[in-house]
Formats: sequence, structure tokens, C-alpha cells
Amino acid sequence: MTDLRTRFRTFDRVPTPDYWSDALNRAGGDMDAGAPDRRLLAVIVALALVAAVGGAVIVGGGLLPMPGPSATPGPTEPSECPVPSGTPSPSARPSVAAGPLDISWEAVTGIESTASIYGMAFADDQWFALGMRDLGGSGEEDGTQDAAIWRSDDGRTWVAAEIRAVDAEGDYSVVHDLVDVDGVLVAIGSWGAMQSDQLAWVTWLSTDGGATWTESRDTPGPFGAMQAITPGGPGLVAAGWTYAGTIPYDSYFVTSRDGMAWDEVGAPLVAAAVHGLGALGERLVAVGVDWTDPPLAYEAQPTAWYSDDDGETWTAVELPGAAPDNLDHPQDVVPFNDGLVAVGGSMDVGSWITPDGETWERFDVALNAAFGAGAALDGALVAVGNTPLAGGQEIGPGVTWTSRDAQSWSAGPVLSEGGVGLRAVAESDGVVVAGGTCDRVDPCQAVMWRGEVVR
Amino acid sequence: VTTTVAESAVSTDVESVYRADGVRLWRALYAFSGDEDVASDAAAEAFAQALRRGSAIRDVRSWVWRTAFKLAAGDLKERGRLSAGPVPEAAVLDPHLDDELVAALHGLTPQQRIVIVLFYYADCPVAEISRRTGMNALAVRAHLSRGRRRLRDLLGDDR
Repeated sequence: MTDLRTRFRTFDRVPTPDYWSDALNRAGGDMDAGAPDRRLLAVIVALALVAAVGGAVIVGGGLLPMPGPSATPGPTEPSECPVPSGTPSPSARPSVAAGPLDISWEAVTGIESTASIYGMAFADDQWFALGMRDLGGSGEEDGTQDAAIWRSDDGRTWVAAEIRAVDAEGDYSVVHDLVDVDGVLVAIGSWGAMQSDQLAWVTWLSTDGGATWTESRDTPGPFGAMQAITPGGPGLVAAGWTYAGTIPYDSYFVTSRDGMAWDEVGAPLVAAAVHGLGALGERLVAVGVDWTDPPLAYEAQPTAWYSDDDGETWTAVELPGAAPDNLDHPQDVVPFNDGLVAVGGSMDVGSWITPDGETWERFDVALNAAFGAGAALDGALVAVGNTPLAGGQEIGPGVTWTSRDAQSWSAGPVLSEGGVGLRAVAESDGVVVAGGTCDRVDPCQAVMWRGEVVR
Repeated sequence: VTTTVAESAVSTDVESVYRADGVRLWRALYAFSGDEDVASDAAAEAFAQALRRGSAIRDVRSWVWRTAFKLAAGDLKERGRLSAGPVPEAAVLDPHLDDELVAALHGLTPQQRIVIVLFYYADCPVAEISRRTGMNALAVRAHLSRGRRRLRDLLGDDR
């Protein structure tokens, strides 16, 4: 069978209209830059006649659109997906050696490079990598993955845990996060049928130190995907989305004493997505985005919420953002300076600190030389002592960043030259393990790295 | 007609995005919707809204892509054609297209279709798809994973 990407190239043969003048008319016709140039009127008429008679012009074996009635040259033939330009090579950055942490990294090759790592944890004196693994042997290209948990004593040698799944056939499932509750390991995640946009919640429990896991989809409460979990409330507090494939969706909170029985608490956060959960003493703090009253149509407002009653009621705090179309959405939150720090973003990378979950200060860290224009931080964040360490990627390569003050950040060395986005990171006793997902169809050399803090 | 320097700069920026991305955006919308009218309307309206909003938008490219796909999805929803279903007649008759692929695309859910089109046609990596759709990267990967598998099933590819 012809490669999928090749088959999609057939869309390149479709003649495309020049719709710039239509856009200008819709915009009100008062945008000078794109106004029709009357000097070209004769040419336009001629071209229109040619187009009416002859249609598209064959150029280089493909069909190109005829120029439309506008001074603006018609759109050019597309090339590769344009991504932000001007990104300096992370490896060339002088800040690599100037960061608050000097970490010696090594690629972990024992875990299959087709794995996708979405969560990382250190619990019960072991490392856990969470996510999904390929069942077909040739990568995510096949679309045959299932939830997976790997464990390791040293972060170098990993073994896949046994998961007693409800249904391994035909479903999508992924593990997102994990906590230890008095010796019982509780993992949360999402699952969904293949022919659906919906994601539902799922939990996995292990009572033998993570060797075997029992999956449960028989969870009370609303339908939704479990995204974040933290010790708190009666034992555990988790946040999920009522995700059915469309934006906006709602978020809700559930609590549990033991990870087995769950109860929904409070009312859902309508038109909001909780990405990360943390705690400051008895206060629970969530970070994410809110779509209720965006500063710009179709966008979202970075938001934090806090609760002083175990999640029954939540108070929203609008986080200061960079611009109305900002993409600096907080993706996770960890302890910092007796308070919390949240980071996240895609191109517009933001960092917020709070002493109490209620008052937040934002740093436009995208201005730091450490972040290129294509930097994306999707939720890999851990506190190494009092130093936040964030993982992400620079368009393609996986990179980590550290900061002493959450304001000035330094990029670490490039961990992968290929397209690997670091999505999870954990730390214990000076050892850091980071994992991610291979972003391209091309095989990645590794999706996990182990680092030791040298200083 | 008079405009401020700032407005001119904004429209120039929008125009440059149009020149660079206009064709690919339109074709991606066509692949998603199977309808030239939906693609043209969504693409033109997205650029128009970008022009109207002026300097409030810093990353015009991402914003236009996000908005165009939302407008196209909204249009299809109004027409009752958003969900998986038969291929629009015009797409069936389009001699430029791979009939099997078009039919398979319309067997996907709307979100799977958007993500698949951006990944395979627009060649965008996951982080860029996230920027261009406003979806969280987790959701992008979920749709991509399920969409790939479903697409291969529909195309009869057992690999």
C-alpha cells in the first residue's frame, strides 16, 4: 500500500482559489495594504478571462491557482509545515553551562523508542514511566498502542509491568500520572474507543510494588479523562476533563481515600481545562485555561483555581498573560520558594509564581535567550530541590530548562536531535529521569533520558 | 483610504501569512471538509478576522489556522455534516483526489480528521498541531493515534 503521507500529497493537485480579496472585503475593505491595485486592472481582467477559459495553469507537473483580483501575489505552493523561524540552535546557546544545575545526561536505550512517555514518577523507591507502548512493533505510525507502565530501580534498566486490562483490543488507552497511597500505587489515565473523539477516565492499581496492575473503568462520577492527581483532601484529589472532542470542554474534580472508590466533589469548572494540580498546605491549587471569557475570540485565558475545602468549591484567578492570543498556558505546577511555580506554553512560554495560590506573578520567559521561538513546554516539570526543571522541545529536539528564580531560565543540552517532545520528568536524590514522545513518523533513537545532577 | 502605520504593518503581516500558508490552509480545509465552499469561506473569514483584530494577534499564522478550522467545523455542524459520514458529492467527483483516501477521511471523527490532515498533509509535528488547533498536546496525540488506526482499517492496510 502506498505510504499515507504520499497519498495525502494528492491534495496538492487540487486547484486553489485566491481568496485574499474576499478576506479583504470581509474585513471591511479598509485595509490599505491589500487593496486592489487599479493599475493592474487590465492584467486582472485578462487573467480572469484566461482563468475562465483555461482554468488552472500546469506548472512543474502540478496545478497552481491563477492569481486573483488583488495586488497581493497569490499564495505560493506550500512547502513543509512552517514552524516558527529564527530559533537558535539550543546546543549553541551559551546558557547551557550557566544554569543553576549541571546535569549529566545519558539516553536510556532499554525502553523501546516507539514508546510514548506521558508521565514519570518516583514512588515506593522505584522509577515509573507511564504512557503507551506500541503493540505492532513499528511505531505509532500503526496506531496500535495500549496503556503501559514501566518500572526501574535505577532509571537505566526498565521492565514493562503487567497490566490486567479491561479490554486491550481496539481501544486507545494511556497512563498519565501516578501516586503512592500507603503502599498502594494508583495510576490514572484516559481511554476511548477508536471510533470516538471521547476520552473517558481509567485507573490502575498495584498492590505488589508496581509489578502488576489492575485496570478499572468502573469509576463513578462523570465521564471524562483523568489528567492530574495529587495527595490531598481525604487522600487523593484528581482532575479530569469531560472531553468529547470539542473545545471548550469542562473540568471536574474527584477525591478518593484509597484510589479504589472515587467521588466527584464540587461543581465542574465549566469551559475550563485543568492541566496541573498541586497543594500548599491544606489549600489545593489547579492551573490550566478558561474559555469562558477569553480576551480574544477562539482563545483561552490562563487561569489558576484554589480550594480550601478539599475541592468542594474553587475560586478562579485570572493569570496574567502575554497577549490576547497568548499560548502561554500553564501545564503543570510544582513547589517553589514556599509557594508554587507553574510553567507552560508553546512559543509564548510563561512562568508564574505564587506564594499562596491566590496571588500570581507572571514572567515572560519567552524573552529569555534560553527559549527559542519554537519552544514548547507541555507539562514536564519537577522541582529539583528548589530549582524548577522543565522539559519540552525546540520544534524538534528535546530540551530541558532550569531556573533559580523562575524568571531567568537556562537551556540544558539537546537530548535528542530528532523530534522528541519531553512530556514528563521526575527527580529523586539528584537523579532526574525524563521521557517523552517521538513527534515524527521517522523512528526516534530514544524517548527517555537519565541525568545525574553534578552540581 | 488612510490607515495607520500599525494597521499597515498588521495587514502586511497577515498578507505574508496568506502568501506563505494560503494554499496549504485551503487544501487542508478542503481535505477536512470535502467541500470547496466550506474551505473558501472558512479560510477567507479567518484572514478577514485576523485583519480586523489587528495587533491583538501576535502569531497570525497559528491564529488563522486555529480560527479557520473552528469556522469550518462550525459550518459543517450547521449543515449537519460534521460527524463521520458519506463523502460530499463534490469531493467524490473531484478528479484530483484519491477517492479511497477521501472516503476513509470521512469515516473519521471530526477531531481525528483535523489532526490527521495536519499531520499527514500539512506535515506538522504534534506541538505545531497543538498550536494550530488549540488542542492540548495530549488530546492531539489521542486523536492522532486513534485516527491513524481507524484510517488504516478503512483503507484496508493491515500493517
